[in-house]
Amino acid sequence: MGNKKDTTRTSKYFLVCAGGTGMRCMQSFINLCALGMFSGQTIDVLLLDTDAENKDKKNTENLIQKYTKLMHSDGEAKANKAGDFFSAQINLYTFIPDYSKETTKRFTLISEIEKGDPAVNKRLGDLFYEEPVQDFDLSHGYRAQTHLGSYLMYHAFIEEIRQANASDEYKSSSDLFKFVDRIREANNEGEARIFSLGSTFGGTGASSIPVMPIAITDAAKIISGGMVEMDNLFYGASLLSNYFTFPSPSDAHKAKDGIIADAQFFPYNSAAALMYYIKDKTILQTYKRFYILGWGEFNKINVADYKTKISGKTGGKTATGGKKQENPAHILEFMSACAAKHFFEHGKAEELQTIATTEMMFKAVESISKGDEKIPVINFDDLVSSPNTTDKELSIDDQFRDNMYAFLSFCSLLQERYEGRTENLISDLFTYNSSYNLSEEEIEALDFFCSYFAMRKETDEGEEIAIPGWFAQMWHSLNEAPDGTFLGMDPVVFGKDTDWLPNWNRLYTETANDNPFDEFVKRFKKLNHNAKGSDYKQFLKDIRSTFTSFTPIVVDPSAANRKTEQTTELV
Amino acid sequence: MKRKILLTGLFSIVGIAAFAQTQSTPNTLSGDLIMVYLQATFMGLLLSLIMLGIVSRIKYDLIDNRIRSQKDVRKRRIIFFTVMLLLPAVWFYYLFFISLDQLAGTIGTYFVDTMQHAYILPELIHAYCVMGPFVLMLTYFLFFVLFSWIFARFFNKYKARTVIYSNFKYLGIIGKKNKK
Repeated sequence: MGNKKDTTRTSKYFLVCAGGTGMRCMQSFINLCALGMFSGQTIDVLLLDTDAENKDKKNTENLIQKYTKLMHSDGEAKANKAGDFFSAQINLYTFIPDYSKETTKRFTLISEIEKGDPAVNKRLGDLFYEEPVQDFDLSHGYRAQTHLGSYLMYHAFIEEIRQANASDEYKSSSDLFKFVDRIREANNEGEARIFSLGSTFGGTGASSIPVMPIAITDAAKIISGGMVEMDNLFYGASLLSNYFTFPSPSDAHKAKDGIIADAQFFPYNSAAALMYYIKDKTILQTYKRFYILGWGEFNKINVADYKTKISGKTGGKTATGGKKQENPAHILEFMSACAAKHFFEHGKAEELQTIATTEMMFKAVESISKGDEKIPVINFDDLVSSPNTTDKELSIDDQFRDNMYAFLSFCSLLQERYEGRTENLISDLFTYNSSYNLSEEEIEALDFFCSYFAMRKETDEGEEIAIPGWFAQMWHSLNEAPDGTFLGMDPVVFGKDTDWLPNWNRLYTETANDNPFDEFVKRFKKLNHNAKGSDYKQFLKDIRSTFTSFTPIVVDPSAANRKTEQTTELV
Repeated sequence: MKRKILLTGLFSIVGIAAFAQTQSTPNTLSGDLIMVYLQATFMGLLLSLIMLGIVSRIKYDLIDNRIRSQKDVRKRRIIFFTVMLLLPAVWFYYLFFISLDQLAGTIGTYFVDTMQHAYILPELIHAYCVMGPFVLMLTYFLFFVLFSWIFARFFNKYKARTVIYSNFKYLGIIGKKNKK
């Protein structure tokens, strides 16, 4: 079982996830891997944050840790082929510039403004940054001050690599050094694709994306002593404009913290950032592709409302970061992860070499009206593209649907019948003469992952509350998309009326019309016969083959409209 | 469907009555006895197939053992073994109390000239009412084992098989492998 970094295989895919949004995009990416969409691939992931306590970061790290206990490298590494669950190898690296020390917690301290001639230093600092920006506490990140953040992030990168280069002891403990070194190796072998995930409107992500190509290339050059040209590094990024909101901080909070992220400025931050991205020459020369993702006129989810309505947690004051910064999953984050897939798998290295100035990639989705609001219609082919398919082979979007339905069904079945305990399902299958040997670690990881994906229960002040899983959170982010507008699924599937327990049986014709458990076991036995002590890989393979053999129900969003029109005509 | 299965089962048991009656003589006795056993065997075969259909109607059950234990296999076994134990009694009752006419010398599909060959009737009664139920029960069981294996092996229908083999043990109790 591969629960450690596999550095024996050369990866050519590298992912940098910066800030809170980057972390949530990473969760989407992990889910994409869990769904078998990077089958047989190895991906090196760098989590980059300035806030060690950020709950989104901790959740992401935790998710990756669970993932690594289940991952394997089986499968055909092909762009148009979805494989088994957890069939991508993920190597995790983390880098957090340390802003918790007394000497590093403010810009003025890092820049050593007090040394030398303080008056001159201060005047120089004032040229670039307002006084509150120079003085705020950096331990909760860059707080949407990207002009400061980019400067600090670049130097944190370079400083870390220099220190690691100078000391073997430091080198062995530096994740950033190892990550950049892997990139250097991939460059020497011909190709390294580096994709950045993060927002354009927040703090750490927005600060990191502009400097990432330069920082990584310079860091790789430092490691190689400047002896090797970094010609085979190809950079891409998703540019996420504002898509969520939260209540503005109170005056007292503003007065206390000085600099604080305020969602009302996010649209302006995004617009300013996009202007910069499309005009800055350095950016245009270093990035090969940008995937521009916006939320346009669609309703933006208020994360405080979500927390109150869904998880029952009351908002309190605006979280600038730390343990309280934990937002629900959003479809745009998932689209970012799909953008990374597109960047990694489309176009040969030679083609990327020929791109002189950044290609801007975007895609429009159709929408329908729900009351006064517009709801986007998201289909699987909006998430992945399948240029070449033969009649014999399912297109990648259909394979994606099959895997998504299958994994959601499996996770939901576990929640519905076993309160998320894989062990008990295995025990029931044993009764029917199918035996699987999973280690406690694997079972625990699978339980965690399935609860996270489908639905989980938490105890809050002695009261048990149902928390929608990652998948249902995405549906919620679309203003609870009606009539198949979200991936062609019946809204009943998401379980809003069943304590967020997804009604997976409504995903397939066979299970919707008959006893779903009987249908599942019948099909399971028919396809997989009597397994005798098979391992977790085989278990997941068997589960997948069972669910993917059912006929998926795809709800046509326009059917409801047609029905209404017909009724109107009759009247 | 259940009614159909039940009716078919009952018709099969009393189906012997539909056979034309033939005379049993000393010359045909040994063949007649074999025919009685074959009738029981055929009945066992037919009933095992019907039972295969009945137990396959019971749905698989997935349930957390902290809530309750799975019941489907138990249900299948109860039905199968109840029928297996009742079969000889029904067969015996039908043949001894309904089909047997000692004065007329008839039993099952045979009649005997009791004036000339009185000893043949007890032989047939023994075959029908003592050995017959035993053969019926045995063949019902054996054919069920065979058919459930064939259905599992070649048609991927495993429900009936769970009557005989579950938890990797015969009848859920005879075997080495244990749940973790």
